[in-house]
Amino acid sequence: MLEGLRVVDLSTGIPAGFAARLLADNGADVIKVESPSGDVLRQDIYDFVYCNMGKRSVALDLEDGDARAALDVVLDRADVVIESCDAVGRERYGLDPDRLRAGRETLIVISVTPFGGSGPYRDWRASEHVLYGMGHEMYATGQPDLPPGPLAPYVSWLTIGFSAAVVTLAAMYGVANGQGGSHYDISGFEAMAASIDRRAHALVAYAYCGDPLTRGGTPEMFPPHANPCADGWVSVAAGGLWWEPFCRVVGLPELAEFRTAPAVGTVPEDVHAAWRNWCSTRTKREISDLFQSAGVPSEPMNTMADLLRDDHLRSRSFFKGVDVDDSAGMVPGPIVRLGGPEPDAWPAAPRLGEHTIEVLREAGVDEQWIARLTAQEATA
Amino acid sequence: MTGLPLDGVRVIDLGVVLAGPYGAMMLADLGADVIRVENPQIFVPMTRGARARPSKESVANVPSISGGYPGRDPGARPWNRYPWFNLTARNKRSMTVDLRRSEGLEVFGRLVATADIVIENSAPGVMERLGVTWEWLREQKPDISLVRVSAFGQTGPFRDHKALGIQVEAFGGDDLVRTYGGRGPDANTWAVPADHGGALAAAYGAILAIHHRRRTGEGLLVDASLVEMFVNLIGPLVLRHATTGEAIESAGNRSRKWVQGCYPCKGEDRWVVVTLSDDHDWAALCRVIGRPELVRDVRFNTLLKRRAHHDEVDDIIAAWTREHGHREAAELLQQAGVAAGPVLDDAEAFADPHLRARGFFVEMTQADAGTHDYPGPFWLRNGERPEPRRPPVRLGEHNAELYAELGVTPEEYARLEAGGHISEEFAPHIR
Repeated sequence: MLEGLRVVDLSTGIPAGFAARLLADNGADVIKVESPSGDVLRQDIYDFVYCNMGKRSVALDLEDGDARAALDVVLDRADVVIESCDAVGRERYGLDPDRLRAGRETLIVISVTPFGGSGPYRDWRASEHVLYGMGHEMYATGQPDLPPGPLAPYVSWLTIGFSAAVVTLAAMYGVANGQGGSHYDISGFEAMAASIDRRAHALVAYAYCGDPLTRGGTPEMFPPHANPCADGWVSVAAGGLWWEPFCRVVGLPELAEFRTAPAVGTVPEDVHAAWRNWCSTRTKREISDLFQSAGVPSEPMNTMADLLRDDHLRSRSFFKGVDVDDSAGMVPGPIVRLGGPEPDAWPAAPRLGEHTIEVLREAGVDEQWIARLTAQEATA
Repeated sequence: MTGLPLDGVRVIDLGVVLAGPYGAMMLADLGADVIRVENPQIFVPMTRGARARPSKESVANVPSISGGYPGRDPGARPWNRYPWFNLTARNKRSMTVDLRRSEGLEVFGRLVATADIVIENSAPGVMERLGVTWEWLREQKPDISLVRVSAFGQTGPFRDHKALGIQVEAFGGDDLVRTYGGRGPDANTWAVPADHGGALAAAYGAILAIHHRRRTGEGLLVDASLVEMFVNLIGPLVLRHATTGEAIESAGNRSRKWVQGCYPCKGEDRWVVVTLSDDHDWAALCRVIGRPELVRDVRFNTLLKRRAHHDEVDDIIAAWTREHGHREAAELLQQAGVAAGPVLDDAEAFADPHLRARGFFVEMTQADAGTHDYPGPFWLRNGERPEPRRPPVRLGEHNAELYAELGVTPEEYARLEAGGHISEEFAPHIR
């Protein structure tokens, strides 16, 4: 639904790259501009493919005035620019958002940086885990007698990118309806702090009653969330109205004394042992199927291999193929389903500079200019 | 009119708990006219509270996530004071109606006829039982779009599964890849990124739908499965496994590629996260911690060797971090160009100088909850954080104006009110 709209992706790394990829997913022409040495993300081919499937790649050395001027010609035809530059880079390559927007009335510029384009931490470096620890609820995640615990890898970076994509899509809608362009500054730190579960609502609860969350602050109910079983682990939730059907399914006399789900610490060891024993002779799918039939929330804790084999996801044709160099890979399909036909495969990620000449030609950069850029090796 | 990109787009927010209401609020923040339609005869736990009318005693000592009312007092109208809901409730209007009855559905149909998007994330079957189906919605407004957020999607053998966010994540592969190093998922505690991802998916689907309508004149039924959204958030792991066959293990607080850890600092339960991606970072850290001789130490002079001797590297770093506060440790390392950050608790994040300097927190005054700072929209537009247009919406706050907009006469209004459709309170029998 974004066919005919042109996005110039000047970014490097995961979050902004993923935001731009989501636009490509929905039909936009996404032109990724890379330095002659390429996006550093190319060092991990899986990260790179995942964040750059479906884009075209132009290699330009923006230190070179001629190449920078050619970029301006490409930008004149862009609807959106996505960038992740730090302050130094913006200055050096003339990528300040105001400069990009000058003379381009309807251009949308999306800046995605770890801490935003202003503020005391503006120039701080970030890894995904640093942003998680600062922005999200790391402090209150994990066991009280252990350090704070992690989120799954990629979740923070990709949540930031996804957040940026939502704002970008809204901005594109506004311009399509006659509004002028604008600049959006998206800070990874803020995208994390605005994450509803668990950070943002803990911040509101803190504002209301002054109690920060801590590890061990919420007692766990029985059965625990994670339960070892015959072939791995299974998740079960038996609080509230689910306790009675849970007990019925399990059929252990030891549970009879509890009218509602008890706190884990109040349950005697023989009851824990009886429950573990019940799980130990059943697979994670058997257990979750039994509970789901009784209306109790329960799911297997899947590995990547389990996911790729799963019947439900297969029935929805969820995973799609993608080329990773000469190998065949699989990636998750669209984040939401819109009801139309879906291809079985995702387009590949571009090789560095694969589309430089064609993109410059399309933009109207004349042949001599292109030849000059190529000869000077200012392009790949 | 707001001047914001979704100006003039009307969204009906039927959302419950988290993903629906927060996704609808993202659209409201971006300028949409979002109207919550709520039923004063039914209380959906964990939307406007764990309960409608908890006693003060019952919430005095519970974690703030279950209670958390201002001053730990539920007040006269607890449903307007619940932090979890109020976080999702700015820039919206609210009307009440009981959709289970035909006169309620009729009024709702009039609202649908004015709307562009409907968002819902109720348990499977709820919308069907009400008769609020895709087909029915399109009879009221042919080009409407409907965003349905559910755990497993609208089709498939698990379509009707009961699942909280934690089940979505367990199924989606989260638990096994976020364990502490050397521990099983039984040492994990709730993280629940799927709920936020669900909100983003609702907003994403809604905006895609109106892009589609602009071009085709037709609305879309958006099927947003939380499981499929979540697997997208760990997509590179799927791709790596699918291509190479390698098992994906958790690295805990370590990195799969670099040198990283969560290190103890001075004081009670204070930590700093440090990530060293290359030799340059290692050298910078060695200078900061006053151990320049370690730069050339053969145990640590390449990334591979540092990873092979990770335990020793951790001990070296922790010996230094223990002597410094977490903010101080991060600042010293950042000054040397190393990625480091304090693990901030809620009090520290709430007071964080960077978030405050950027105006991330917005102050809102709401008649029942009072005046407080709230996390604002996560974006600046042309250098500015958008001012909230409305504080967290109260139950039925806009009944009079919205029913009037829908052409309901004073007599009809009085009848609907007497019939329990129109209220600013949950029905008295609801505890």
